[in-house]
Parts: sequence; structure tokens; C-alpha cells
Amino acid sequence: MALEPHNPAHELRKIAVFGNGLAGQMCVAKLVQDLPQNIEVVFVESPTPSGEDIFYGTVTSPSSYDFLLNIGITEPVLLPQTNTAFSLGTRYVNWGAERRNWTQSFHRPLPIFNGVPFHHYLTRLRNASPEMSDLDAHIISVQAANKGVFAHPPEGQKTPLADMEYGYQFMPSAWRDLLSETLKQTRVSRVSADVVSVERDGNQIKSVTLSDGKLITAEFFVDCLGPTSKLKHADAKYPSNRHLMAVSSVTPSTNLGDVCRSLTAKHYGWKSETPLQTGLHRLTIYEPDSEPAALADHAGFDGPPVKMPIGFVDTPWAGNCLTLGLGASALEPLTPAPMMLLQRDLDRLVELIPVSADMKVEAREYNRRFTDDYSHAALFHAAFFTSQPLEDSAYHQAAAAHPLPDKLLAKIEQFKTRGVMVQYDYEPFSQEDWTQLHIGMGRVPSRYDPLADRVSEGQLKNKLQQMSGAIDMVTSKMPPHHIYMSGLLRYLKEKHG
Amino acid sequence: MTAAGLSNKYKDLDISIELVESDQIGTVGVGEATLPHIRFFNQALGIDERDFMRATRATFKLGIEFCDWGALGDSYIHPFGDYGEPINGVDFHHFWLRLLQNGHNFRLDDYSFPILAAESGKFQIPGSDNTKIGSNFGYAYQFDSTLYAKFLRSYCEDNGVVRTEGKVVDAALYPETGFVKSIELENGTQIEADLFIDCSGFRGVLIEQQLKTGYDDWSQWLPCNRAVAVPCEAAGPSLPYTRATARPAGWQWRIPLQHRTGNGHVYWNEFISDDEATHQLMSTLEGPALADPKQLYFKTGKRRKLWNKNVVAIGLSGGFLEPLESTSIHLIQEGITALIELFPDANFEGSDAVEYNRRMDLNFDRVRDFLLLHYVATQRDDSEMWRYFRNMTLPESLQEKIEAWNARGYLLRYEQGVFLPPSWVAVMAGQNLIPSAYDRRANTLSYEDVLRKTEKIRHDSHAAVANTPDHGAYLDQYGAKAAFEPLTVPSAPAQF
Repeated sequence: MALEPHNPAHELRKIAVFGNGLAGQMCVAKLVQDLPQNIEVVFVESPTPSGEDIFYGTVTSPSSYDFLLNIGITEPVLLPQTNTAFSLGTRYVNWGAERRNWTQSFHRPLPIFNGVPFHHYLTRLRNASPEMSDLDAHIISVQAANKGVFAHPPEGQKTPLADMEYGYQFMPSAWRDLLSETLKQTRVSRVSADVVSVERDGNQIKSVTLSDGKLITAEFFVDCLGPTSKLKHADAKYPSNRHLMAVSSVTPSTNLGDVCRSLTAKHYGWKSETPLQTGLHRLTIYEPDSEPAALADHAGFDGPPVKMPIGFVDTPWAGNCLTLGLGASALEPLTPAPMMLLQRDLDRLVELIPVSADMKVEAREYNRRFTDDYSHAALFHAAFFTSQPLEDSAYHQAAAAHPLPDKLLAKIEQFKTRGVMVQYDYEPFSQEDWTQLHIGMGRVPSRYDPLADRVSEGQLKNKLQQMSGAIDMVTSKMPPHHIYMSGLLRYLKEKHG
Repeated sequence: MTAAGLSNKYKDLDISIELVESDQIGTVGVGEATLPHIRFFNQALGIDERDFMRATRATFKLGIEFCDWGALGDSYIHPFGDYGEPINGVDFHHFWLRLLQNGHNFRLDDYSFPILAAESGKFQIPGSDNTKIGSNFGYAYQFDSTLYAKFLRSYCEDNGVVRTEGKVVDAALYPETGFVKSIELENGTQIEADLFIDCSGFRGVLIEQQLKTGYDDWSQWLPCNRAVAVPCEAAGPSLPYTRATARPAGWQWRIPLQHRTGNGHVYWNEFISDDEATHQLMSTLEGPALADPKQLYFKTGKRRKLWNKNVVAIGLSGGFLEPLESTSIHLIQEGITALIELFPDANFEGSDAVEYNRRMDLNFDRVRDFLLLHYVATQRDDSEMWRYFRNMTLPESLQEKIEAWNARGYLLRYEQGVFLPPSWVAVMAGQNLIPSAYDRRANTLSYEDVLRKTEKIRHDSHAAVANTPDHGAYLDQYGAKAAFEPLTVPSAPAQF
């Protein structure tokens, strides 16, 4: 048994990445880290960075830690060089017509007692002891977020803190600048120019002419230039006509605020406040027709409003060109989904780096997984809009207008009737995410797993009290976010200079 | 299994379980080999492994040996475990492909502890440190399914299940809903219940005969429709793996138990007569037959709804896929697990059945593709049946999997379903589908580093096997061996 002798002539040798923002920088960082040296990576950067990156939002999921580590960016690099802070989740305020408030936190899997998922026990106590049926009291990430405290979760220790997970509160532009600096130390060839024209042969890109007159040729092209890119192929079109607007600003402050983003529903859309090391990052998302109200409420912004199509394309990879980033997908940054999915896109890309000029298999598989990821994330977002919308809110009506997909209906129905989680392959949001969202949105199971009755009420209450008591004790000893961050930065400075 | 699973879960709740069985109706007995998941089922029931193994005359199982599938004369083992270990996050088989492309000719099997242990007839329970090569694998059992049924029957009765002897002859339905109200036994007894679980085998006495649920016929993809089964005397020490040997019009199984060897020939009657199929089986037994061969008839596929109204079909009443990969018992287990999670209340929310059927459909679909892979990943064209498979239009889900593998050693993964990527690697590589390229990330290491790392895994795997006891001796040492004399034929064996 032996393969055909290796023929280097058939190998892909050169990838050209075109970017004007965070996606391009992340893509190049990932490619140079994960691919062998004999694949040349050329990075064509637009000299004018796009403002569209604000659609990546202001929080990342816990998966960012591993992603950054993989491309060589550790916290001792990230924290002193950007204004990044820690994130335990998002606090939703006044959501929907019911004006619901809850904290959607990052957390390891909730406990399963006697084979029964935790939330069934809370449902059991809902009528008899409603004061003990509060999910938040049993999630350390929520309690820490509510108290504004933080500490790194220890590994391999039996403490409630080990169940906490965290992401980052960040500014896409700060991460983009850090990555740009980091790339200077790598083997990537960089060109600063705009795209003037693209020569194609069917769905194959032959070459790209740049504003400085250079001609870029490659076997494989990655287009991170956003929705209006000249590299976009005809199939990479957003299927929906819905657009949203975004505007942002940073209110400088030397006091680092909460370890949780707050996101408040408004008639025009929503606005968020995300504490960073250097100030409060405010982001407002709104329907284009509601611009006057949104801008009046935002009161001062750092750049012009940005308009973005919302959704994701059918075929991000066609021929020898992959559309990546906001040109392929834009989910509103209501959750950490935009960054979480961009990281997934990049993980998927390096798994599927073409092995020859025929990229049909790679494109098909990339597109399949892309569609699964984005449609599953879209289910999570759609689940925010299933209750009565805010009256007269064009934003809420547009978000809730689409008929709910069958997959989401099944998830909601199973949770509401019996607290069971319906799961699909490799969903980006975990069962804990869904549990918190369902309960946050006021979906209460009408019954619980009968096996939850095996524990006596007294035993159950004791157990829950122990859990919440331990969480309360640990979070009481944790330092406030700003104290922890300043101590950590001081330590890093002493250690690394 | 269903009554045992439910009685364990609901024994102290206000749910009564009645098991209606007829001693007149035998079990099919083809599902004697299992997948590792069975261990979790037994553990959940609180069953002691040694007690269970002694009671069912079980042997350990590390995988399945497939003979003559890719080509006549070939063989490989599909193990319960990974090949090697990922290097820098890249699956091991890509590095193996790199070695092949550079002229090396190492077997992928040499990097798999369970394969090497199976080939040497060795076994021991994996240790708790799964970072060690000799501990990082799964195992299942080969057992006497009739004895397992008996073992579980007493488990059920100990857990408060009422067992009623009797054959179901009729049922009454509620006219307004079409739900089953009661069943009637041959002796005239009527049994009412809220929920009926139909484990009545191919007949589907409730799911089909009463509710007319319909059947998705998968004969176009899995056309084998008959089997003949017979036990024989064991020859030599019991081996920790099952064997499936491809035949001109089907395939033949050999399952070594403690006291005998189970055998069967699954075939497509379009291309072989029952007599000839039986002759092929009987002439290739490793020892004298211990009984007359038993003939089985089936149609591969599954019930259109495995949960319909207040009837849930589990086992052969729900569907049948040939036991090439020991999935029959596993699909029963999946059905029980899903039923427990979605156990209805008196209102029978329609969404429960919808979700149950979605999960089970997915399980069946994915097993179907995996089974079909064995037939189509082949160079054989030496009989009508093999030529049929070579010209078959595959389900798209399988076609895409094979293309991705052939092009670059890539595995289309799913999260829910029984067969994980190493299983697909085993069958595709084992049946001579060698990808024309591998993941480019495998080139980030120098070739010398690849050689050094892969050689260490190969060496460690062989060394771990050298320190592993013989399977037969381990059964004894572990306390799993039943006290019995091996079954032998007292007089002349049956003649065919």
C-alpha cells in the first residue's frame, strides 16, 4: 500500500489574503501559524481600515483564549497592549415587551445530579420554594458578574470558581492593531494597496490588480474586504435585504467597570455599554429608519454610523476564492456570536487548506459547515425575539417578523413543555447558553423530569443551599474587576517589563 | 432491555411496568456482539460486570475483523479506539499518509493498541489514566443474547416489573384518538396501559399491525434480506474480536463466546439460494455445529415513525439494519435512552414523539451510511452482488464523505451518531481507500520529527501489548469466566 510519489508541482504554494480590518489580520495570523513554511502567504491590506469591524461587537466568548494562544497571543501580550478587559457575559436589560432582565454568562456545564440535568430540580422547587429556584444563584459567573468581581478560574481544583469561564471585553480596532504589529514578526509578505480590478476565468480568480500597479497572483484567494469587495463572486450575496446600523464611542475613564457588558433594549434597537481598561465602550445598533432617535440617545460618537447587511451568504467559498468575515456573514453583535463564528471560520479554513487546484471538495465542506454554524447561531439570536416585541419598535418587529425555523420551534417547545434540550450537531451555543436564554426570556418548563423527585425536598434544598452558599462565599472573596486587572498588569509589567 | 432500563429509572416512582412475553416466540439472536456503549447501559442499571459476563458467557471485544471486504484476501480490524494520537491538533492518520507518500509502508494498524492486542489475542480492562496508550481504548462484549435476555428478566422482576406470559393476538384502539387502549393475549386476557412499547420483533404487533405506521424500505442500499444462524463448538482460545467475512452474496459472522461460537450468514436471496447459503455457512464453521441452522427473513429499513401515538417501537419492530457493525443492540439502547429522556405524561405532547423520531431517524440514517460504506469501498467485482454495489448511486451524505476522504483524508464529522471519525478511518483505509493527499498542516513538522513521533507511538503500542495478558487467561483472572464445560456435540454433527 503506497500513495503515488509526492509531486510538488501539484501543491498549493501561495495564498493571497485581502483585508481591511480584523478578519484579515486574524486570518493571516492563523495561516502563518498553522501552515507549513512552504506555503507563501501574501497579505494585501487596504490602507484605509474599514469601520465595519464594530459589527464584531464588544465581547468575545471563552473560545477566544485558545484561539489567541494558538496564534501566539497570550494574556501577558494582550492585556498590556490593548484595552481589553475580562468578560463574564452580558446583562440584558428591559428586553422585549415584558422588559425582562437577566445575565447571560459563560459557564462550564451545569451539574447533573442522579442523571438529571440541574435545571429540572429548580423547576421542581418553582412553586413550593420559589426563592430557591433561581438559576442565577447557582451560577458563579452570574454572581461574580453581579458583584463586579473577577479572578482567573483555577485548573483542576474543586472550587466553584473552576466552573467559571470568561471571554473578553474588547475593541475590534485594538485587536486589529495588535495583530498588525504581531504580524511584523512573521514570514507574511505585506502589501498596502487597494484593489483596482480582478481578472477572472469563470469562477477562478487569475490575478488582482492593485492601486499601486502591482499584479497579485495566487492559487487561492481569501477575501476579507467586506460586503462591497471587488473580489466577491456572484454567489456570495446576502440573501436578505435587512440592514442594521451601528455607531460607537468610548467614554474615557481610568476606572475599569463591570466584568459584564450591559445591553439595553430600545425602540430603535439596542445599546450596550462595555467596560474596557481605558473607558466605557458604548455601541448602539438600530434600524436605519430609526436613526434620529438612536443617534440622539447615543449622544456623541467616534466615527460615522456604519450600515451592514444582516445574515450570511449561501456560498462563501466558490472557485479559488473564499469570502471570509463581514463579506460572508454579519450577525448583529447581540451575543458574542460574531467573533465566535469568525474563529470557527478560521479553524475550518486551516483544516481545509486546498491540496490542489481542484478545490471542489474543500469548498463544499467549508460551505456546509459554515451554513450549519451560522444557521445554528441564528437560531440562538432568533430566540431573543420570540416574545411579544416592543410596541412600535421597527427593530423588534423586523427581527421577529420571520417565521421561526422548525429547529427553533422544537427547542422552545421541548424546553417549555418539559425542560429538555434539543441539540443539533456542533452548535456554537452550549446547553448552558440555551438554558440561561430560555429562562431569561421567561420560558419556564411546565414539568420536570420525574426522576428529580427521587431526592427528598429537604435533601434538595440542602444541596442547593450548599451550592449557592459556596458560590456566595467564593465571590465574596474575589477582588473587584479593576483591582484584579491593575494587580495583574502591575505583575506583568514587573515580570516582562 | 427496555423493561430493565425503565424499571431501573422508575422503580420508586408511581409508574408500573408490565412485561408481556411469550416463551413460544424465540429471540432472533443475531445481536450477540455489541458496541462499547453497552457498558454504560449495564453500569446505569447497577449491573456488576463480572456477574453479567458469567451469566451471559461473555467475552471481551476490542473490535471487528473484516476479511475479504476491500479485496479477496484482505483483512483489517475496526477497533474501538483511535489510531495514534493527534499531533499539533492534526489527526494522526494525516501523518501516516505523509509517511506513505514518502515511500514508507507502515500499517496504520501498528499505531492502534486495540488492533494489536486483538491480533495477539490479548486483553485487559483499560486503566484509569487514559493518557497511556494501553488505557486509551474502548471495549464491548460478545455474549449470548438469549442469556442476556434471561439475566435482564430477573433484573426486571427484582425491580418490580410484573411479567405476564402470553402472546399478543389483538389490540383495542380508542376510536377518537387511535391510541392503543389495550392488548389482548391468546388466553383472552386484556391488558390496558397508557404507554405501549412494542418490542415484538419484525411483526410489530402494535406499531404496524395496529397503527399501520409504514416502513422505510432501505433494500436499495442494503439489499441483503436473509440470514441463517448456527452455533458451533469453539476451536481454540476465545478471541477478543468478532469476525465478518465477505461472501459472494453477503457476509458471514463469527462471534466467539466463552462456551461456543456464534455464526451466521447474511445474504441477498437474489443471488444465492437458501440451501446454498446454508451450505456455505456450515462448510466454513470452525467446529461442529451445536444446533440446526435457523433461518431468518428481514427487510432492511426502519419504521416511518418509531414513536406513533402511544406506541414506541424498540428493537426489530422499529427497524432492522444487518448486524455487520453490531448496531442492533446499540439501536435498542439509543431508543431506551431517548425514551427515558422524553418519557411522556398522560397528555402525550406531540412534540415528544417528534423529537424522539428525529433522534432515532438520525441514528438509523448514520448507521445505514456506515454499513453501506463496507459494501461500496471495495475493489471486488467477482460476483453479481459486488458488481451491484459498484454501480450503485449512493446517498449524498455517504458520497460526500467518501469524496472528502479520497481527496484529502478529511472526515465529515457529526456530533450525534454512533460511529466517530476513527471508525470511518478504519473502514476506508482498511478497504484500501487511500487518500491522494493529506492535511497540509501535517507538513509543519520536519519529516524527521514525524518519523520520530510516529515511531514512538508505534513502539509504545507494541510494548503495551507485550505487557497485556491473554484474553482467555484474563477472563479467568478477572472473574468473568463462567463455571461450565464448553459445549460440544455429543454424537455426530448435523450433516449438510
